[in-house]
Amino acid sequence: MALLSLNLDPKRASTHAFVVGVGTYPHLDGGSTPNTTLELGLGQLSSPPLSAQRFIRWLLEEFHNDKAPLATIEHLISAPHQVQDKQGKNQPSEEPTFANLETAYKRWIDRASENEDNIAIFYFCGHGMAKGAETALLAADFGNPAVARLTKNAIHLEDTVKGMFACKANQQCFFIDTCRTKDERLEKLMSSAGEPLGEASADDVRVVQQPVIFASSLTQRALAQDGAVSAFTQSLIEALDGMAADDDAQGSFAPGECVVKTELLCRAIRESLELQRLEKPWLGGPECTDGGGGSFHLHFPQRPVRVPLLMKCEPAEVETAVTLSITRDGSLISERTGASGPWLTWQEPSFYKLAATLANGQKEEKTLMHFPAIKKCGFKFNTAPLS
Amino acid sequence: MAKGIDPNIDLHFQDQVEHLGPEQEVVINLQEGASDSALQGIAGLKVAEVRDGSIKATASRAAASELLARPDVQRVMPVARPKMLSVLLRLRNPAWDKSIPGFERGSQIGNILTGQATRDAIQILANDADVISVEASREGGTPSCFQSIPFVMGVPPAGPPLSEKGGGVLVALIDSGVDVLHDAFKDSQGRTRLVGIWDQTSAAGDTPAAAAAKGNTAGAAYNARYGRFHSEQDINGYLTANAVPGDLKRDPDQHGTHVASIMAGSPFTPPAPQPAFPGGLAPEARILLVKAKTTTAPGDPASIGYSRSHVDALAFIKETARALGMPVAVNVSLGMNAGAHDGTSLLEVAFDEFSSGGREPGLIVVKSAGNEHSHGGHAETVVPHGGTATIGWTTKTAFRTQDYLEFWSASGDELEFTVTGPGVSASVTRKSPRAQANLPGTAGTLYLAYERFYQDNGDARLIVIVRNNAGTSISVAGNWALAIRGAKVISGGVVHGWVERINLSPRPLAFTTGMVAARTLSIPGTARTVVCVGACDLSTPVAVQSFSSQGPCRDDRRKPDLVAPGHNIIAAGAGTQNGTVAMPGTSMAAPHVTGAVALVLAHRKRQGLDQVNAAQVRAGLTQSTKGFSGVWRQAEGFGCLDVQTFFDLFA
Repeated sequence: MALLSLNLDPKRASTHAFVVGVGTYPHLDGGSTPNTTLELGLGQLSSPPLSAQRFIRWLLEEFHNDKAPLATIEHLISAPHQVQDKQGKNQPSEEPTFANLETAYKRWIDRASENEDNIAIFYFCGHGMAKGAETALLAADFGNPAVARLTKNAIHLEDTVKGMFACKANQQCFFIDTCRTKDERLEKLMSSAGEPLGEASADDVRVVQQPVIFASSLTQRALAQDGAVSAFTQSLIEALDGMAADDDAQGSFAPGECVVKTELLCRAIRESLELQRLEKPWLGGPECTDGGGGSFHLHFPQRPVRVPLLMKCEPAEVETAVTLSITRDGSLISERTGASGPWLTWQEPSFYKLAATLANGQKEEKTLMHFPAIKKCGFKFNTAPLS
Repeated sequence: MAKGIDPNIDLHFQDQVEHLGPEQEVVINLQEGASDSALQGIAGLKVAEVRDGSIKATASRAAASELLARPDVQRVMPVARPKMLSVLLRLRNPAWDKSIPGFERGSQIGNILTGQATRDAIQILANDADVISVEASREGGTPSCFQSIPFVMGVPPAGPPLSEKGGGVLVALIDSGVDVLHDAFKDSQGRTRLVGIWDQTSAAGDTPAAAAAKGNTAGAAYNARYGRFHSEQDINGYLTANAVPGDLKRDPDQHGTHVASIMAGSPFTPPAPQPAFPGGLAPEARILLVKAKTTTAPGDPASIGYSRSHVDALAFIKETARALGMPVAVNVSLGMNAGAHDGTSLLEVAFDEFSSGGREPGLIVVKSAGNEHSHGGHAETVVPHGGTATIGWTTKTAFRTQDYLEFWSASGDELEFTVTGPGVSASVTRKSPRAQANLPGTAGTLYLAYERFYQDNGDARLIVIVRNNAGTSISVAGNWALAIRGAKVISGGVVHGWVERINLSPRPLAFTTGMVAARTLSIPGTARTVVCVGACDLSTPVAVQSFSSQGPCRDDRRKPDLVAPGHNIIAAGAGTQNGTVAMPGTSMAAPHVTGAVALVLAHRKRQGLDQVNAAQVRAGLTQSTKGFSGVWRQAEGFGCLDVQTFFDLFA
């Protein structure tokens, strides 16, 4: 068992997370005992363990929900990666084989079921594929030649979500950081998209909030920079930190007064992915998708929310000759002169005046309500004279 | 990366993307004139698009394997960069045998060690006091066989009427394969003349190390842990069955079969009306084949790359020769373009180390000069002090994994480089030696890496790479220019550029300005002890073939050493019992020289004379050319091979 236990008080509502990061696949290409009869083009991954560790660190350091504080994190991350607890000590994790996932899942839903106001968070980063419209999440021992069924060591996501009706927690969310590409050979080799980690009876069916946030749309790839946190997880964390914040009709984004609702996550993640692509266009392709399933108040940011502000000029030739400025309440907040490309800054939600000024005095101004998830502001100049 | 680490390693891992799901895009290059429609119906192959004779597709391993077995397919290359990189280490202490997590040891020649390593392992190696430098084994290597020339007026190999037939020596080739069922490779009893095959491309059967552990290698202590070893006994079994294992194949590329038969083929009679094949130059020599793996195959966990493939092959050949107690002449017909062309790279040093710097008797390497004369693969300019010079190149829409160019100059000159291409521009200087810029949309990314003092020679090197980090191929067409400003030119301002070969016709990447035919030799023909051979015909005076690469080396060493017949040579045709085919190329010239060297080695062995070494053989070859005058020319070297005179020189 690999568990970070923080505030385990069954009498009060709390949050229980289940975090999986699969990087080592012994039976896939490049593994220690590859299954050479498999033809899936799947190899070893460096990013998922790092992404899972990053998500855990975010949970430990940033997650805040007074109604359901973080209580436990069940983690299964490929060796040799370890998990840092809240005190910064390294704790061993558990290998994310299907058998380990099954038993850890049982422990997790048992804890999450102790209070119906609990929040259950499921996070998976590793290889994934689509079979039909269903999603297979591949456990570390996927492709084991000793097992006759290829479906045996894959998690059937949609059936697992259905099985979560058996969990008494009425607020559940699922973050799925995998590809959902379709593969003809997989379609032939697998009778289904895997097996669910649990199942529910007809009596369990009720109103449960079960938002599912995918890193990729159906048939799309999810991408990660090698040796770094995946693009989706990086954007998920930016969304949770404030890009998906809402003032919840309070008129304030001050720490503790705004909230991240799960229904706002998808748009914020998409916008954040767009920002990543400004520097790394090769991360293009995956689009975060909301799998539906309701919404709830997940997280209440305790740090000041910062929202990206993207300014650009047209035509592009004037960029290096223009001064861009941001003012609030008459005070200059930030300024950029003589640089090319869009200007990305992060500002707290408020009202701003933005200006673009050419050296010849030609000036364009705009007033901006700067609220999450992002504000993009363009200035157009008709003029050619740049001096 | 730390000092002593090839920047190509850093560039290999930089901005590398992994897909959290299947990853299978491949680029398929067809042979010239082949049609992509012939690929329809291959299970596991999905063709996405065809451009300029290249194909973007997804392919299963089985499909890739089937493709590679086809004569109309040249290459199948996965686009994703492998996570482990094959490397060459230069050791301070040749006894270095540390175990580094993530580093798999390969072969060793002198103080050059091969292996494959993860990014983390390379960092550890870089910090090891006993490791001087680490170099990437880049993918590349194309046969020096010029297949676009029509097969007319073919001539059989030019062997002399000598009584010496090469018995008792070994000739080895690192090549595409050999059709072991062809009569050219059987002795008079119908047994094979091959002593073994190391198929680096196969994942089936015993590796050389595994075969050695089972005692199936005739006493050779091989340590290579990849590929498949076929013993002489195995090959005789194939002859009995008149069939070869599916992974070995009958050399669908034909190149190696042709080369081996020129070098050492047995006489045979082809079907009429083809004339009888008189035999190669050393028709009684034993033959050893290394089927080279110079590119990654779909499903490979790691790239082998040209350098590692060839250094491992040399170690294998040397060990075989030792176990057999035979001298060996090695023929290499695959080469690379990009590099310093001065004999200082780890690959070239390893070729020199094979014969202990040319001094160890009975170990000779012969390399084809290359067919790069007219491909626009080399450009040269002189940058004036305070002025600017430009080298231009053009790219086509053919799908490819990356564009790779190197520019070399004297480190004493302070130069500033700006590369401008379709919608992209980036600059590097001494103070700002790395730059990257994205092409419009998601077409790709341009990388520049400049080193003022390159570790192997102290010269300055600029690397230019265009690739797509998303794990997809590039198809960038347009005109490119490298503007070089001479901020301070005190060492001549000469800049040489080479493009790495992409074996498509027409080449998707070629210089358009500044290109010159000189210094187009392919590496490692530029190594100091390697005999470098250009191609000529049999006319008098000798006519050097228009495709034959020219010297000198960048450091002005005089290569090629000589030329040999390479104009439509008729030799064994793979896939037939006793057929022939005519092929032109420096690939066909080099085995004439290798075979001639085998005759000398055999004669001296038989006569009990001291064996000659590579330094002596090189000198003898160049001084025994037809009408030798001592004059070296950049196309023909010291002249055309004269086997009889060469033989007599050492008789």
